Amino acid sequence: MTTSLPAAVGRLIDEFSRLPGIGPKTASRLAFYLLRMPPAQARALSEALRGITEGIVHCARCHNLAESSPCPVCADPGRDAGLVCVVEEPLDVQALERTHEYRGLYHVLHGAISPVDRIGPADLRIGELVSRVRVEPIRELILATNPSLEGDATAMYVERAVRAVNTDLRITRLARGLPMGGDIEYADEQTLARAMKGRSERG
Amino acid sequence: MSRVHLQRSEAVVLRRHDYGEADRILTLFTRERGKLHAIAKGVRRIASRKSGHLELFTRCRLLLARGRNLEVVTQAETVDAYGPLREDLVRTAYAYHLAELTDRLTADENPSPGVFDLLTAMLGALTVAEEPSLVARYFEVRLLGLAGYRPQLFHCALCQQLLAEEGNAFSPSGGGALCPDCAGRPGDALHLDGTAFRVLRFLQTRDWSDAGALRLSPATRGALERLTGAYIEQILERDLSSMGFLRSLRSAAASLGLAAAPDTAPADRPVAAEPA
Repeated sequence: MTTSLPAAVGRLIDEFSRLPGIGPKTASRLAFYLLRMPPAQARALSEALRGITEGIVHCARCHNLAESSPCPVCADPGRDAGLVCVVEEPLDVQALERTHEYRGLYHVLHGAISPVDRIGPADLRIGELVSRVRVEPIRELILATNPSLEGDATAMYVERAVRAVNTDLRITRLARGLPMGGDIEYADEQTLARAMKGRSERG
Repeated sequence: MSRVHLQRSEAVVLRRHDYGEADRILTLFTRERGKLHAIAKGVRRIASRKSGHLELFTRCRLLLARGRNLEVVTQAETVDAYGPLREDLVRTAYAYHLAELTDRLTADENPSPGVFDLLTAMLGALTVAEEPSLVARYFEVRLLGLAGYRPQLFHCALCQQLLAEEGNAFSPSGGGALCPDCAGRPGDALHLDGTAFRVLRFLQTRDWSDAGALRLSPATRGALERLTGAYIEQILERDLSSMGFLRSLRSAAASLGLAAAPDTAPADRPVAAEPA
C-alpha cells in the first residue's frame, strides 16, 4: 500500500504498525509527523531507540532494567539489604522509588501469573528470588504485586515457593485500602473489608 | 440529548486484558445475553470507582452502553466477589478453569441463562468446597451438556446398546462411553474405570446438592480428570491453559517438597446412579 512512498518511509510505517494499539492509519500519521519534525528531534528519537537495544541490561541481582549490573539500587551501600520488595514490573519500582519511603532492595518478577495468557510461574523470576532468599541476609520480603487476582495469585505462589526454603523469613503484603481521592460509597466489598481490617490507631 | 442505549445486565468477568492507557477489555458472561465483550474505561487507575467491581470472576450488576464496536461499562456493582477464591491458589486455579471453559465452549451473544446459573453456582461452590476438583468435574459435565456436547454415558456411543456399569471404554472422538464390543473400534478409546464411570453418570444426572457430597479417592479424581480432560480437548482441538497451570502447581508443589492439595480423602463413597 506504500508503493508510491520512498522505501524508508514505508519501512517506518511498517515498524510503527507493529506497536500495540497502533493501526496502519496511526502509523502513517506518526511517520509523517516525524518527517516534518526538525531533523535534530528525529535524530534524538532514533538515538533513544538505539539506546534501549544497546545500553540496557537486567540487573543480575534484582532483575530490574538498568544500564549496569548490579543496578544503582543494588549497588548503593546505603540501602538496607535485609528488605526486599517483590514487584511485577520495572515501572512499579519507579512508582515505589517516587515515594522516598522505602530504603530496601527490589526484586522484579517481570509479570504476574495469568493462565489465560499462558504465563505460568516458570515464566517469572521466581526461581531467582528463591535463590536470593537462600544466600542473601534477607529479614523481610514485601510482596508488592498488583492488588488484582493475578497479583494475588502471584503473591501466594511466591510465598509458597519462598517458605519452602526459609520458614522463619518475615513475609508481608502491601496494605490494601482506600485510594486517595476515592469515595467510600463506590468502593468494592473486598477493598472496604480489607480497609476495615487494616484500620490504624489515631494519635 | 442523543439517545444513549443503556442496558442493565448481570455478568461474570471471564477474562480481561489491558487496553490503551488505563482501560481494559472484558469478556463477560451475562445472564441476559450470553457472552459479550465490553470496554471498561479508566479501570486501571487506582481510584477508579469501577475497578474493584470488575475483577476476574466477580459477579456484578452492570450498566452497559452500546459503543461503536464494543459495549461500554458505565456502572458496576458487585453481587458476589467470591472472596475465598482469591485467597487460595488452588481455588484460584480452578476458578480460571471454569472461566476458560465457559469462554471456550460458548459463542458470543448467545443467551444461555443455564450456563450463567451453573457458572455462578459453581464459583460459589468453589469458595467452600473441600474438594475443588469435584466442583470442576461437575461443572465440566454440566457445561458440556448445556453447550450441546453431552457425553453419552448410558448407551454405547456407537451401537446404542444399554451399558452395564463395568467393563466399558471411553472414546473422546466417539462422544462418550463404549460397550465392550465397540471398545476396540475407535483408536482413542480410554480405559473406563467402573467407579469413575458411576461418578460421571451421577454428576450428569444429579443436582449439585447430591453431587457435592461425594468423596472420592485420589485415584478416582485422577481418572475423572483424565477422562473429562481428553473429551474437552477433543472438542476444543487444543489444550486448556488452566489445566496446564493446575499441573504446574502440582509439580511445583512436589519439587518444593510441599504437600499439594490434601489427599486425605478416604476411599470412594459408593454411588448409585440411575439412568436418566
